[in-house]
Amino acid sequence: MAEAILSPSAAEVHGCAVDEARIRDYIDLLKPRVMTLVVFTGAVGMVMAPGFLSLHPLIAFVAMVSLAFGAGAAGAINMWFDRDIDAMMTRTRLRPIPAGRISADNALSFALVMALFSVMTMGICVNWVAAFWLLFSILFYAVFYTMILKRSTDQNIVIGGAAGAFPPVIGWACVTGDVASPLPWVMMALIFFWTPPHFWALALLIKEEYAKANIPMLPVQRGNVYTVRWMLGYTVLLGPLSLIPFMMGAVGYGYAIVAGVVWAGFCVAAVRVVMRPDDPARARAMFGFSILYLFALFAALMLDKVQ
Amino acid sequence: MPITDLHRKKLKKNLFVLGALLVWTFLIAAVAFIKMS
Repeated sequence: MAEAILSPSAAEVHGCAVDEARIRDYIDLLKPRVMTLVVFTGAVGMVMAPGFLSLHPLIAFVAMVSLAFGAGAAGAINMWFDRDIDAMMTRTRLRPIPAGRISADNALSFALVMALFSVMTMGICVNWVAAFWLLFSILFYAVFYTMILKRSTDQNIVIGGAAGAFPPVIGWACVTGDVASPLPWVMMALIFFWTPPHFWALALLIKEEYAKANIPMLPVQRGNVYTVRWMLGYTVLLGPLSLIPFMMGAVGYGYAIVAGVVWAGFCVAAVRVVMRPDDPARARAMFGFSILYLFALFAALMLDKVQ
Repeated sequence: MPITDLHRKKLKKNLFVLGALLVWTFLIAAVAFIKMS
C-alpha cells in the first residue's frame, strides 16, 4: 500500500511531462481570470436575491467556492478538448497541456473530479436548484460550446456566451432556491449581450491566429467591417437593457447614472472601432473597456440595491 | 528502493489531495451542523 502511494507511475518513470506539473499549472488549468468574473457576477446575483442577509456566511462562502471550481472545471475541460488548436496559437500555446506540463489524461481527470465535487458540494451544502444550474452551465460550456459550436459556426461565442452568463442566476438560486424571478435573467441577459462585443474585440486582435487554427470567428469568416458593425449593435442594445433593473425598482438612481455613464464610454469605444476596424489599438481599447464596463455595471448593481 | 525526487514529488501530490479532501470533509460537516442547528 505504502509503495503504491509512493511509487511513481510508468508515465512518470519514463519522463512524461506529468513530472513537471506544479500546483500553479493546475491553477492555470482552471482559467483563474475567467473564474474571477464568474465569482464576481455570481456574488452579485446572490446579493441581489431577497433574503441574502439571512444566508449563513459559511454557506455563502461554500456556494462561491463551488461556483468558482465548477467554472474552473468547465475551463479545464475546454483546455483539454482544445489542446490541438491551443498549440497552434501564440496566445494559448504556453497553456499547461500544449506546453507539455500536464498530460491530457491528467487534465481531463482533474476537470471531471472538480466538476463532480463542485456540483455535489453545491447540492449538499446549498441547494439542488443551484447545483442543477451549475451543472447545466458546465455542460453548456464544456460540451455545447467547446465541442460543438466553437469549431462549427461564426456565431459560436454569441450562443456559447450564455454559459458565461449563468453565474448571476446560480448566485440567485443559492439564496432563494428558485429562478422564477425576472431579475436574475435580466442580469444574465446583460452578460449574454456583453459577450459578443467583448470577445470580438479580442478576435479582431488575433484574427490571423484564429484563421491559422481554423476557428470560424466572425472577423475570420465575414471580415472586420461586418464584425465591428455587429459589435456596435450589441453595445447599443446594452444601454436600454442595463436600465431594466432600475425600471423594475430593484436598484436606485446611483446605478442608473453609473450604467448610463459606462455605457456611453463603451459606445464611444465601439464607434472608434467602427471608424477604423483595422486599428489594433482601438480594438485593444474596446476589449479593455468591455471588462471595466461589466465590473462597473455589476458593482453598481450590488452597491445600489434597493433593500 | 532508494527514495528519489520523484517519490518525494508523488508523496507531496498525494498529501495535497489528502489535505484537500480533509478540508472538504470538515466543510461538509460544518454546513451540516449549521443546517441542523
